[in-house]
Amino acid sequence: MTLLKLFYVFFKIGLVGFGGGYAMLTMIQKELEIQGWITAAEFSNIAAISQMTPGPIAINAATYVGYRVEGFWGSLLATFAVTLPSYILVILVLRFMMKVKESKWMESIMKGIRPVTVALIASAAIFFAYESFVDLSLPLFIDWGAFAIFALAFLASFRFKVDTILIIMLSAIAGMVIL
Amino acid sequence: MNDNTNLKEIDTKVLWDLFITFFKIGAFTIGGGLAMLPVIEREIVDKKGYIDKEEIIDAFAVAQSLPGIISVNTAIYVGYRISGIIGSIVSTLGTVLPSFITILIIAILFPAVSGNIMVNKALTGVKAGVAAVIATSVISLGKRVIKNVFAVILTVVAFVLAAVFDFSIVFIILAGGLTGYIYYTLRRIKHDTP
Repeated sequence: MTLLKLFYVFFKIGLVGFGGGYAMLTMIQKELEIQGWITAAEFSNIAAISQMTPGPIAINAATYVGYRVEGFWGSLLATFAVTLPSYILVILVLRFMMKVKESKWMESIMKGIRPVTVALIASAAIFFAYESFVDLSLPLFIDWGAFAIFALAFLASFRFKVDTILIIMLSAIAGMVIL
Repeated sequence: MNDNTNLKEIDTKVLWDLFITFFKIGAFTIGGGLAMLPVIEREIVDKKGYIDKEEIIDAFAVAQSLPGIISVNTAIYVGYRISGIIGSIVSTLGTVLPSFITILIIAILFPAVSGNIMVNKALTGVKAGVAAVIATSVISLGKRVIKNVFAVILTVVAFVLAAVFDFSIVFIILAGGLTGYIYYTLRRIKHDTP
């Protein structure tokens, strides 16, 4: 029964998908192609769309493919299936963490993990920089238009504490106007 | 922190607020799960004070090291900490709904989907903006948790491993946890022995 298969495939994607959107891309594509639910061309389109819309690729793929395969209920089921593994795992880990939070050994581990997490987040900033104002084909590797947006946005958020969502919206508009 | 109490009582007002906040967060997390962090930090930590900076970092650590979608993992974590199981359901619904609705509309209206120059420009602008707001978050979160030389070393090493050498995220987080455990335990032992 297709609904069951839809659930199973997207549950698997939600469970095994590691490392965030881009790492998951190939895995999602393979799974969907095996089922014959999507062609490579259609998938690259939905991946591109996913870049432009809110939401991670896994959820967008689930919603889109679910709809194509079994209509509205398909999209609902697939989206639910892809989030379920997260649900179970995070809550289990969180309950464990909350129990041991007071213990010294846990606190030591977390004191190691926190700076590391901040570093990983910083490397995410590098990733977004690469996708916007760092362009290896240009002289000095910088797209000055996009860099201007970055600089203004940084000034606005760091110095003037402008609302984050407002900055993102203005950046989008700036992109259309300046670039 | 107690292990069984939520940070806020289960209260419809809080739940509704949680939903709206995560709906906003979900709507503006474009281009990758980590873009969510600065928005969550501003909305949940700074504006509402539901959770403090340290906890949001823990949420991100957990979200990145477990399988699954980073933004969903984060929403579940934060929602659960604030209002238990119901909180986590509400926050996840909020996060997922904007993209669900958008893609559904696209799937219904457009049998074939393609790119568009204006959208690409807007997107590049967004990515530059996101790089900037993440940088701000990194500075404000970093100030909170990088307080001694050991933490500085950990941060630098982790950054180099991740950004330059593209090491696995899970490995880096586990290594950080292990190193922290060893260092702080040794330090405690040294401190405790007369």
